[in-house]
Amino acid sequence: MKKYSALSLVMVLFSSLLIVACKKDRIEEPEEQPEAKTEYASADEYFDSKKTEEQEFVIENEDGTDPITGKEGTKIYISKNCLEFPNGDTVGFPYTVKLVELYKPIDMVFWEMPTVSNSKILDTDGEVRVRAFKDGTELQLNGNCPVKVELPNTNPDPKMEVYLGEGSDPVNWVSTNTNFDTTYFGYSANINKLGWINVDKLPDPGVHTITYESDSAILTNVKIFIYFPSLGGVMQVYDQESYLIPDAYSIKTFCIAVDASKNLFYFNSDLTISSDVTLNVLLSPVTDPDLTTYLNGL
Amino acid sequence: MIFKYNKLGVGFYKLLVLCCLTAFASLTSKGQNIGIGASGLYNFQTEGWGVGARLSINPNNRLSFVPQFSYYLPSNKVNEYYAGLSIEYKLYLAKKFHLYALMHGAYNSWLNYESSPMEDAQANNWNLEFGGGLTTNGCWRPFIEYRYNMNFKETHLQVGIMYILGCGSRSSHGICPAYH
Repeated sequence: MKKYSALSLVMVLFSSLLIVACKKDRIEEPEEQPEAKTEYASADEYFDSKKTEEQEFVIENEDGTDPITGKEGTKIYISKNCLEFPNGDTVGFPYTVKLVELYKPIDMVFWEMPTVSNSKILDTDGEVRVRAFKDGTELQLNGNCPVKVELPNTNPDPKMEVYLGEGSDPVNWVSTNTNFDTTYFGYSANINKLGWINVDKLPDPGVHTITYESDSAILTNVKIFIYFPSLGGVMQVYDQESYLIPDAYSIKTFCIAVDASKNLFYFNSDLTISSDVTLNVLLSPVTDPDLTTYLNGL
Repeated sequence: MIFKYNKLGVGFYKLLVLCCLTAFASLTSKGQNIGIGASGLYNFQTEGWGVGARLSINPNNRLSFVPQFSYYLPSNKVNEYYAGLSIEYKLYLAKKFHLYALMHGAYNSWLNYESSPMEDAQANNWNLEFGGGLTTNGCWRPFIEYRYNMNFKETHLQVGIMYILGCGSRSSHGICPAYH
């Protein structure tokens, strides 16, 4: 019995020695601990503060024929006779028309309204949102008449189609298979549904992707965009991988982040895509005016 | 722990000399109280080979004192020597072999510490090892030991052979009296 106790003791002793972590510190370089990646806060609040204003027009009568005209020149021809409550009730005066105009990439970026249809980038000449309200209730078209919209453009493209926005976060653009009329003013179309309207056409099909990585940042809350100068379109990147990008297109990609102290960071890269690309995102501090200048220069 | 080389080095050598004198004194007065041995060593962490020499004082008693010297060759990544004293306690005594636990304190001179990537590498170190071993009970005793170095957090294996002085003489009949 005593012999077995001694043996057990030895077993325990040896097991303990083997369990204790041994180290090769004397011959191996210590493994470099990767620097902790910076985690950014949500940038939603910053983006909301930078959104172009949604304009409101209170319609008290429809005596004249003048359209509602937005700050960027969008014209809306609407009548209360075309509107109804969701339950089908008719609408009386006054009612409110709300208009968002997104013609510049900076506005599309801050509204997070990429010009993407079923994962495909669109060639765009502008996005608008037209909504009508009565006593806080959003109205809809009653089917008796459409709403006419005109979007300004000095060189309208007759191939541009009417796309309507469906869903949210993100809005998906769906073609109505109807072309805009081109006029001296720009584009004109009769719309049968209020909401997001886009002037678009599909460019060459996409073939390449961009994957975003970072050695220094966790990209979860970082907002990533790709701007296509030749298309005027904006693609937003989700989960660090872009949708398909047409071959040999020059693009400008940029990332915007906000830390917990509300400091701004950004990264940008201009490149021409002719194969799949992986970008290492290195975010740098930036001021709001500098970032705004950059986005205005797109 | 950081020890000054001059103080501890000299102190250790005094101890070593004392041990040797004691061993030889015992050797001249009594048979089979001293064993001498040599060994080969392999350190699993530094991947270094070494050689060792030792005396065993009272190798046939349950408690033995074993001054020893080990040298890891210059061809290794770590070139160093150890000079120290082990205390061996026999845990299990069989007819032909015995199993022992050991504790070993040693001065370590790390000769090429400057080439090590270790941050606090230094030439002079003090080490404490724990381990165990297995050996036979005859005049020639092959042994194997496995030890853990608390300072460097390294293990090494030691394989060697020890000869018990005076063993095999007429009085002992070749078998150590402790195990009769």
